[in-house]
Amino acid sequence: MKVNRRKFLKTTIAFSAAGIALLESTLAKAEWLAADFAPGPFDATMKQLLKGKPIVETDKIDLNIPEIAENGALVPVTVTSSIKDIQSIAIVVEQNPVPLVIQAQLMPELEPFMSARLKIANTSFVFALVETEKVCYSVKKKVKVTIGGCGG
Amino acid sequence: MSSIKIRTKRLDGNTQIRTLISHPMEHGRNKDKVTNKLIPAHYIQVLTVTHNGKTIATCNMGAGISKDPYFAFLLKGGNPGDAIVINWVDNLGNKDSEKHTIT
Repeated sequence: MKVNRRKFLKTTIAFSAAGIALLESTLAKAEWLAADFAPGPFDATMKQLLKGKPIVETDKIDLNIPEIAENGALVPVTVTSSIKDIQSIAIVVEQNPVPLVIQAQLMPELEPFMSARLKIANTSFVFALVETEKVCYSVKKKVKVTIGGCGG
Repeated sequence: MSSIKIRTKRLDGNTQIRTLISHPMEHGRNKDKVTNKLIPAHYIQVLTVTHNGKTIATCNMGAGISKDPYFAFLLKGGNPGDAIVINWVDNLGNKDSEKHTIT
Protein backbone atom coordinates (compact mmCIF):
# COMPACT_ATOMS: atom_id res chain seq x y z
CA MET A 1 0.00 0.00 0.00
CA LYS A 2 2.82 2.34 0.93
CA VAL A 3 4.63 1.62 -2.32
CA ASN A 4 1.49 2.37 -4.29
CA ARG A 5 1.03 5.66 -2.56
CA ARG A 6 4.67 6.60 -3.31
CA LYS A 7 4.22 5.62 -6.92
CA PHE A 8 0.98 7.53 -7.18
CA LEU A 9 2.55 10.66 -5.75
CA LYS A 10 5.57 10.41 -8.02
CA THR A 11 3.53 10.01 -11.16
CA THR A 12 1.17 12.85 -10.25
CA ILE A 13 4.06 15.18 -9.56
CA ALA A 14 5.77 14.16 -12.80
CA PHE A 15 2.58 14.70 -14.79
CA SER A 16 1.77 18.05 -13.28
CA ALA A 17 5.35 19.22 -13.87
CA ALA A 18 5.06 18.16 -17.51
CA GLY A 19 1.72 19.95 -17.71
CA ILE A 20 3.18 23.17 -16.36
CA ALA A 21 6.12 22.90 -18.76
CA LEU A 22 3.74 22.40 -21.68
CA LEU A 23 1.61 25.34 -20.61
CA GLU A 24 4.66 27.54 -20.27
CA SER A 25 5.93 26.63 -23.72
CA THR A 26 2.61 27.53 -25.35
CA LEU A 27 2.42 30.73 -23.38
CA ALA A 28 5.99 31.64 -24.25
CA LYS A 29 5.13 31.49 -27.92
CA ALA A 30 2.55 34.25 -27.60
CA GLU A 31 4.55 36.32 -25.17
CA TRP A 32 5.66 39.84 -26.01
CA LEU A 33 9.40 39.61 -26.61
CA ALA A 34 11.55 42.70 -26.24
CA ALA A 35 14.02 41.17 -28.70
CA ASP A 36 11.37 41.15 -31.45
CA PHE A 37 10.69 44.83 -30.97
CA ALA A 38 14.27 45.94 -30.39
CA PRO A 39 15.34 48.95 -32.40
CA GLY A 40 17.87 47.74 -34.91
CA PRO A 41 18.62 46.96 -38.51
CA PHE A 42 16.00 45.28 -40.64
CA ASP A 43 18.09 42.13 -41.22
CA ALA A 44 18.45 41.43 -37.50
CA THR A 45 14.68 41.75 -36.97
CA MET A 46 13.96 39.38 -39.84
CA LYS A 47 16.42 36.84 -38.46
CA GLN A 48 14.78 37.06 -35.05
CA LEU A 49 11.31 36.71 -36.56
CA LEU A 50 11.97 33.83 -38.93
CA LYS A 51 13.68 31.55 -36.36
CA GLY A 52 15.38 29.60 -39.14
CA LYS A 53 12.30 29.15 -41.32
CA PRO A 54 12.89 29.67 -45.05
CA ILE A 55 11.32 32.75 -46.57
CA VAL A 56 9.35 32.37 -49.78
CA GLU A 57 8.10 35.22 -51.91
CA THR A 58 4.57 34.61 -53.04
CA ASP A 59 1.64 36.22 -54.81
CA LYS A 60 -0.88 34.55 -52.51
CA ILE A 61 -0.74 37.43 -50.04
CA ASP A 62 -2.52 40.64 -50.85
CA LEU A 63 -0.89 43.61 -49.17
CA ASN A 64 -3.16 46.58 -49.58
CA ILE A 65 -1.34 49.79 -48.72
CA PRO A 66 -1.25 53.17 -50.47
CA GLU A 67 1.78 53.70 -52.73
CA ILE A 68 2.07 57.29 -51.63
CA ALA A 69 1.30 58.04 -47.99
CA GLU A 70 0.79 61.72 -47.37
CA ASN A 71 1.07 61.32 -43.63
CA GLY A 72 3.50 58.68 -42.41
CA ALA A 73 1.95 58.71 -38.94
CA LEU A 74 -1.20 57.07 -40.20
CA VAL A 75 -0.99 54.57 -43.05
CA PRO A 76 -3.86 52.11 -43.37
CA VAL A 77 -2.80 48.58 -44.27
CA THR A 78 -4.79 45.43 -44.98
CA VAL A 79 -3.30 41.97 -45.39
CA THR A 80 -5.35 39.16 -46.85
CA SER A 81 -4.12 35.77 -47.93
CA SER A 82 -5.32 32.58 -49.56
CA ILE A 83 -2.70 30.47 -47.76
CA LYS A 84 -4.21 27.78 -45.54
CA ASP A 85 -3.26 26.88 -41.94
CA ILE A 86 -1.51 30.11 -41.12
CA GLN A 87 -0.09 30.75 -37.68
CA SER A 88 0.62 34.43 -37.75
CA ILE A 89 0.69 37.58 -39.83
CA ALA A 90 3.49 40.08 -39.28
CA ILE A 91 4.07 43.51 -40.74
CA VAL A 92 7.63 44.82 -41.00
CA VAL A 93 8.68 48.29 -42.20
CA GLU A 94 12.26 48.27 -43.47
CA GLN A 95 13.24 51.84 -42.64
CA ASN A 96 11.53 52.23 -39.26
CA PRO A 97 13.74 52.52 -36.16
CA VAL A 98 11.87 49.48 -34.83
CA PRO A 99 11.20 47.48 -38.00
CA LEU A 100 8.63 45.03 -36.62
CA VAL A 101 5.29 46.76 -36.27
CA ILE A 102 2.90 43.98 -35.40
CA GLN A 103 2.85 40.24 -35.19
CA ALA A 104 -0.60 38.74 -34.86
CA GLN A 105 -1.14 35.11 -33.98
CA LEU A 106 -4.40 34.15 -35.60
CA MET A 107 -6.22 30.99 -34.57
CA PRO A 108 -7.99 28.83 -37.19
CA GLU A 109 -11.31 30.49 -36.23
CA LEU A 110 -10.19 33.63 -38.03
CA GLU A 111 -9.86 34.16 -41.76
CA PRO A 112 -6.33 35.13 -42.84
CA PHE A 113 -7.21 38.80 -42.81
CA MET A 114 -5.94 41.70 -40.78
CA SER A 115 -6.18 45.41 -41.02
CA ALA A 116 -4.35 48.07 -39.00
CA ARG A 117 -2.81 51.54 -39.20
CA LEU A 118 0.96 52.02 -39.19
CA LYS A 119 3.57 54.68 -38.65
CA ILE A 120 6.17 54.78 -41.40
CA ALA A 121 9.24 56.97 -40.81
CA ASN A 122 10.60 57.24 -44.34
CA THR A 123 9.95 56.03 -47.83
CA SER A 124 10.43 52.33 -47.35
CA PHE A 125 9.54 48.80 -48.31
CA VAL A 126 6.72 47.33 -46.24
CA PHE A 127 6.76 43.56 -45.83
CA ALA A 128 3.83 41.35 -44.93
CA LEU A 129 4.92 37.99 -43.57
CA VAL A 130 2.54 35.07 -43.29
CA GLU A 131 3.94 32.30 -41.15
CA THR A 132 2.88 28.67 -41.53
CA GLU A 133 4.27 25.68 -39.70
CA LYS A 134 7.25 25.21 -41.99
CA VAL A 135 7.79 28.31 -44.10
CA CYS A 136 7.29 32.02 -43.99
CA TYR A 137 5.66 33.63 -47.02
CA SER A 138 6.40 37.23 -47.77
CA VAL A 139 5.29 40.02 -50.01
CA LYS A 140 6.67 43.54 -50.17
CA LYS A 141 5.51 46.89 -51.43
CA LYS A 142 7.21 50.25 -51.60
CA VAL A 143 5.49 53.13 -49.84
CA LYS A 144 6.51 56.70 -50.51
CA VAL A 145 6.12 58.96 -47.50
CA THR A 146 5.93 62.71 -47.89
CA ILE A 147 5.69 63.58 -44.18
CA GLY A 148 7.53 61.26 -41.79
CA GLY A 149 5.83 59.38 -38.99
CA CYS A 150 8.41 60.25 -36.37
CA GLY A 151 7.57 63.90 -35.84
CA GLY A 152 4.93 64.82 -33.32
CA MET B 1 -15.54 55.07 -20.13
CA SER B 2 -13.75 52.27 -21.81
CA SER B 3 -10.95 53.08 -24.21
CA ILE B 4 -12.08 50.36 -26.61
CA LYS B 5 -14.82 50.55 -29.19
CA ILE B 6 -15.91 47.38 -30.95
CA ARG B 7 -18.13 47.03 -34.01
CA THR B 8 -19.11 43.81 -35.69
CA LYS B 9 -20.74 43.26 -39.02
CA ARG B 10 -21.94 40.10 -40.76
CA LEU B 11 -20.28 39.69 -44.17
CA ASP B 12 -21.15 36.68 -46.39
CA GLY B 13 -21.44 34.26 -43.47
CA ASN B 14 -18.37 35.70 -41.76
CA THR B 15 -18.19 38.33 -39.08
CA GLN B 16 -15.97 41.34 -39.40
CA ILE B 17 -14.66 42.59 -36.05
CA ARG B 18 -13.41 46.14 -36.02
CA THR B 19 -11.93 47.85 -33.03
CA LEU B 20 -10.74 51.33 -32.25
CA ILE B 21 -8.71 51.96 -29.10
CA SER B 22 -7.82 55.36 -27.76
CA HIS B 23 -4.17 55.25 -26.76
CA PRO B 24 -1.24 57.67 -27.30
CA MET B 25 1.15 55.01 -28.72
CA GLU B 26 4.26 57.06 -27.93
CA HIS B 27 7.49 55.41 -29.07
CA GLY B 28 9.80 57.40 -26.80
CA ARG B 29 11.64 59.38 -29.47
CA ASN B 30 9.30 62.35 -29.73
CA LYS B 31 10.09 65.53 -27.85
CA ASP B 32 7.62 67.59 -25.90
CA LYS B 33 7.33 70.88 -27.79
CA VAL B 34 7.07 72.98 -24.62
CA THR B 35 9.61 71.43 -22.25
CA ASN B 36 11.87 69.98 -24.98
CA LYS B 37 12.14 66.74 -23.07
CA LEU B 38 11.61 63.30 -24.52
CA ILE B 39 8.12 61.94 -24.05
CA PRO B 40 8.50 58.51 -22.44
CA ALA B 41 7.45 55.49 -24.45
CA HIS B 42 3.86 54.49 -23.85
CA TYR B 43 2.38 51.96 -26.22
CA ILE B 44 0.20 48.88 -26.31
CA GLN B 45 2.20 45.67 -26.33
CA VAL B 46 -0.37 42.90 -26.42
CA LEU B 47 -3.91 42.86 -27.74
CA THR B 48 -6.04 39.75 -27.42
CA VAL B 49 -9.39 38.97 -28.98
CA THR B 50 -11.57 36.24 -27.55
CA HIS B 51 -14.69 34.73 -29.05
CA ASN B 52 -17.04 33.03 -26.54
CA GLY B 53 -14.14 32.73 -24.10
CA LYS B 54 -11.65 31.23 -26.57
CA THR B 55 -8.68 33.34 -27.63
CA ILE B 56 -8.76 33.78 -31.39
CA ALA B 57 -6.02 36.37 -31.87
CA THR B 58 -2.98 37.50 -29.92
CA CYS B 59 -1.26 40.54 -31.39
CA ASN B 60 2.17 41.57 -30.19
CA MET B 61 2.97 45.06 -31.32
CA GLY B 62 5.51 47.81 -31.03
CA ALA B 63 5.12 51.55 -31.20
CA GLY B 64 4.98 51.38 -34.99
CA ILE B 65 1.20 51.26 -34.77
CA SER B 66 -0.47 54.64 -35.15
CA LYS B 67 -1.92 56.69 -32.35
CA ASP B 68 -5.46 55.57 -31.47
CA PRO B 69 -4.97 52.18 -33.12
CA TYR B 70 -7.53 50.55 -35.37
CA PHE B 71 -7.64 46.83 -36.10
CA ALA B 72 -9.94 44.63 -38.10
CA PHE B 73 -10.27 40.86 -38.12
CA LEU B 74 -12.54 38.47 -39.94
CA LEU B 75 -14.15 35.69 -37.91
CA LYS B 76 -15.27 32.53 -39.72
CA GLY B 77 -18.97 32.12 -39.07
CA GLY B 78 -20.13 33.76 -35.88
CA ASN B 79 -23.70 33.95 -34.67
CA PRO B 80 -25.80 36.71 -33.16
CA GLY B 81 -25.37 36.62 -29.40
CA ASP B 82 -21.72 35.48 -29.50
CA ALA B 83 -19.48 37.36 -27.11
CA ILE B 84 -16.36 39.14 -28.36
CA VAL B 85 -13.95 40.39 -25.69
CA ILE B 86 -10.94 42.54 -26.50
CA ASN B 87 -8.13 43.17 -23.98
CA TRP B 88 -4.98 45.23 -24.21
CA VAL B 89 -1.91 45.64 -22.01
CA ASP B 90 0.63 48.43 -22.51
CA ASN B 91 4.29 48.78 -21.56
CA LEU B 92 3.41 50.65 -18.35
CA GLY B 93 1.16 47.83 -17.20
CA ASN B 94 -2.12 49.60 -17.86
CA LYS B 95 -4.85 47.42 -19.24
CA ASP B 96 -8.40 47.61 -20.44
CA SER B 97 -11.05 45.22 -21.64
CA GLU B 98 -14.35 45.55 -23.44
CA LYS B 99 -17.14 43.10 -24.20
CA HIS B 100 -19.29 43.16 -27.25
CA THR B 101 -22.16 40.96 -28.39
CA ILE B 102 -22.57 40.18 -32.07
CA THR B 103 -25.96 41.32 -33.32
